[in-house]
Amino acid sequence: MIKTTIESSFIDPGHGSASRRVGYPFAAVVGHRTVKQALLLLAIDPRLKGALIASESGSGKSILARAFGSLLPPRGVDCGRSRVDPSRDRELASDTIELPLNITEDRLLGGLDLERTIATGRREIAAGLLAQANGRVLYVNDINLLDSNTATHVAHALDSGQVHLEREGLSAIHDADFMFVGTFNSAEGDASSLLRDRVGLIVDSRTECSADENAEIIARAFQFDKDPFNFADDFAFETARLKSDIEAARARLPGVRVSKNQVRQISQIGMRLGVEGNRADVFALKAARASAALAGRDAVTEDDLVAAIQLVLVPRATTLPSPSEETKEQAPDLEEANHREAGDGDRDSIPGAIEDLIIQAIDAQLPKDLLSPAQRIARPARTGKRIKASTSIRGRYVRSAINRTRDARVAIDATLRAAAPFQLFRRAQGDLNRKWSSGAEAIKDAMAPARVKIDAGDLRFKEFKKRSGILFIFAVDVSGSMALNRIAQAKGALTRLLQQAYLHRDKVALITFRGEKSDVLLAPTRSVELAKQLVDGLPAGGGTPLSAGIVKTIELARLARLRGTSRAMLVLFTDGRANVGLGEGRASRTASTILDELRRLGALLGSEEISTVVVDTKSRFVSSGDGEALARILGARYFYLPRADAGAVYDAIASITRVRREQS
Amino acid sequence: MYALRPPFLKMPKELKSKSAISNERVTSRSSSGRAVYPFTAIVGQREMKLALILSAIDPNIGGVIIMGHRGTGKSTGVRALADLLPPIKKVKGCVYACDPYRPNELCKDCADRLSADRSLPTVRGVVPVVDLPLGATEDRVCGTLDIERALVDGVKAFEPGLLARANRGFLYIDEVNLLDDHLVDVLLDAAASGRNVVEREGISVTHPARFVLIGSGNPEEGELRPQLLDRFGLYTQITTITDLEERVEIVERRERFDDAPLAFRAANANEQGKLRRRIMRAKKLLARVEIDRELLMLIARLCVSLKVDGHRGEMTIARAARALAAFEGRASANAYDVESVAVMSLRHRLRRDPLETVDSGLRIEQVLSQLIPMRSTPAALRAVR
Repeated sequence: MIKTTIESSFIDPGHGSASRRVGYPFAAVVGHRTVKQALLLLAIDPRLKGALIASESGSGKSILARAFGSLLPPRGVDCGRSRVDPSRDRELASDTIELPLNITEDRLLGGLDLERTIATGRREIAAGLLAQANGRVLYVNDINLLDSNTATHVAHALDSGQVHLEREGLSAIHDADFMFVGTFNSAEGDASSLLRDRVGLIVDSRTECSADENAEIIARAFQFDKDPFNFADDFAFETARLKSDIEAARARLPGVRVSKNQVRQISQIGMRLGVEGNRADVFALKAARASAALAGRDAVTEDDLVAAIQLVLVPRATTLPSPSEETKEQAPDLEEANHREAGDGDRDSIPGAIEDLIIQAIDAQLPKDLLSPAQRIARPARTGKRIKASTSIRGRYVRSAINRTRDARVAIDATLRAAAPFQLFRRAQGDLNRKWSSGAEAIKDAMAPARVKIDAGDLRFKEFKKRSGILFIFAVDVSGSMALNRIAQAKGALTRLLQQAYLHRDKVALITFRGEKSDVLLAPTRSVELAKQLVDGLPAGGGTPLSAGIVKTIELARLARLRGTSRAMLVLFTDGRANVGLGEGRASRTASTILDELRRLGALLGSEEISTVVVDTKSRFVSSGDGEALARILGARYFYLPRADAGAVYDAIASITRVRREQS
Repeated sequence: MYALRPPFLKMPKELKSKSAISNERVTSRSSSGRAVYPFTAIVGQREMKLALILSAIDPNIGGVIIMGHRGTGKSTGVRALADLLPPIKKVKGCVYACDPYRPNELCKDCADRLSADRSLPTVRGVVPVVDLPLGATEDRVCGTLDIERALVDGVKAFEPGLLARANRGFLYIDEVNLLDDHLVDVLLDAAASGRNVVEREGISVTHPARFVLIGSGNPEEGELRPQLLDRFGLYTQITTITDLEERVEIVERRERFDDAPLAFRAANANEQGKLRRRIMRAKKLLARVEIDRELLMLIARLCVSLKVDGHRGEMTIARAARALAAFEGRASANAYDVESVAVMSLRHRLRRDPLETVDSGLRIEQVLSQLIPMRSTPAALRAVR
């Protein structure tokens, strides 16, 4: 039996085997109550658009996501214009399309179908993955590593339900109405804010399983490995029940009622949590109705509201839910606040109810680091199964060029255009040749299926444009008394850098270090707005953990590289010598340990190709050459700028980057 | 002071006489078959709505850029605009939809036809609203060699791109601050000259490309190139609505629309028709709207005290003020009009200090209140209900 399975999968690796391949059943996954609930709500109302699932690695989130597609009721036959020839699409058999992180723009959006175009002489479109996902589930694993370009396209398709294809001489609009499921390990960074905004449900399920559950997970995994078919059969009944539940809920959904007061509660909580935009409110209402439909109710109850708040609003919170007096103080406009206060007075009962709802939802699930986005990005990225960004063919295909660079890819559209005007001539010439040549050659010529004749001289190559510029990481020592000065200086220089950044697609990040650790104050960004919002006043004082600051820098640079920004530069603002090492205890504080640490970190900075600048802010009067020594150890350029002068810092950085840009 | 009345604003005679052009177009769906959320059903966001309406009335204002929070209805607003635009007359069979009443802006084909036949066949059509997707390649934006005709007939024919399609209409770029630099260059060239010059792959074509740029984006995603920013006439900032009742209204309307789009549209048809007719009347009135010297002086003083570089700021305020007067059915612009449009006309033209934390809008409001002692309500946007 085993033998036949292998053979058949060899012979028919395409959709034929998909029916035989069996996935881990959704119903057999232990735990993950919230994730399951979110996916079921999405199945009931696909207008929720999608779910982002954050959790620790190896917790079975991707199994759930992959099994999700098989739960959906069969779709209608109509695939619209994006219908693709089933024999050409090996994944048509399944309801889930997986989007690989390293997808190119032409495969994502669609492009010229080379084979058919040449065979027919007419432009033929190969639908992109987004169009193929129409009516199905689009699944991305490790969505935090999706490059911003791809994320933008996915977000746009989620928003409009369509893909606008204007590429390579093709112009088309494809339907791309899909359910989006993205999973990621929240310790490795967050999903793109664009995507977070466009999907309805966000689940952070970092729940610890009990020992019993853990045992059950392992036991089931063994069973499945041993005999997937029987294992799936064991859960066939539960799978069928889930499916029929979903179908029944879908049928019930249009009739689910919601009161005005309940809508008001949703909006009020959205406001209290500081949720940006009004889209989340709309999603929350949909989630509440779907939840009611799932429970077999015809009207939304408090439980449904709690579920909606938990899955839609709480993950988007930007402010701590506080007692109502405080929110009113924060209101941007006094007049408005008064107005609202008056409004609240009319409905005395609501605030209490809302308080309860928020507390319930937050009790159910509130990530501890909800309000410090910095921590989400902090930990080092795992390597291994990650796809490494290869440089020459990543980026965006912008135009074609006649000269071939190393690793160049043929630009089909441009090549065909170059060859096109000569086709009549070449065909005529071909006929002529055939008359003169004889035997084998003539037969070969006649059998050639290609109607388009392309010469080597017609070849055009894709010119890619990498959007990545340089990531400037400003590491600011906030241990000493002049800390505030330095922050102002760094902030001024980085906003100035950003204002020039549109040219080079540069990004900036700001990290601070004091005491024993280093914090990310501003995650890599291109936004002047965000940089301006940086707080000036910070707690200062304590030790100088220089090493911690450099470690954090390297982590940020590695993460940025995974996301396509390949170069990084560290600008270190400090006035003194490091006196706190990476380790714990007194031993780590000895001068020799720290010196050794810094030497090794300096080497690491070098091997990571992070160029470093030390900005010494200590007054010359008391300076003992520590800054210069540090620069030597780290292999860094040294600037002595004791006055908080943002302009001078900017000029210094600009002079170095100009050289670097010319070199690369 | 300035040439405020471009000749084309005079309506062609034919169009004037047929004042009873049926407004009830059946464009309940966008070009791609999806029902579009009606403009009049958008809750709040008055500044954005006003800016869009003004640029529909006078394309010469230079378009609108809408920047602000995610999920606040930026693209909903722009997509809904298409529904409100009154039909235009164009040359029959022309791919660029040339304006038969502006002989000096015809494409080469139409110009040839005009000199041969002494007249051009016209047809009524909709104003194009063209999406420029972020993943577009240069060849599709500018246009390039028509490969099919080249393959089949061996002819070097030009295949028009998005710029050609957008001629006399609107070109919409969502996430405009993420647009690639090479596309920005192409856009800037065309926007500045009103023509698209294509010299590639053995093709040499120049065709009219006058379009109104509409952009939207979230400033947190990145900065916009200053040259491109300057091209936009009006800059509107959009924020999350914080009024509870309005928020509830948004959610309820959206849910009703999602449940039954066509019925929702039908319920709004009356309002839509009213607004569409009002815009049409304003377009006709625009050519006659006066702006007196005193008001021009006020505009100039405003720009001088805000240290606005160049004259685009003054021009934009004057044009937008006239469009607003026309929208309100008045034949002369007044200080109220200037006040209402000043912030959105100048917000992106003030010199920027990297460490400045005061919002540009507030600075403009401050100067306005110094210049106009008896100010009515700030940002009197009651024009749009």
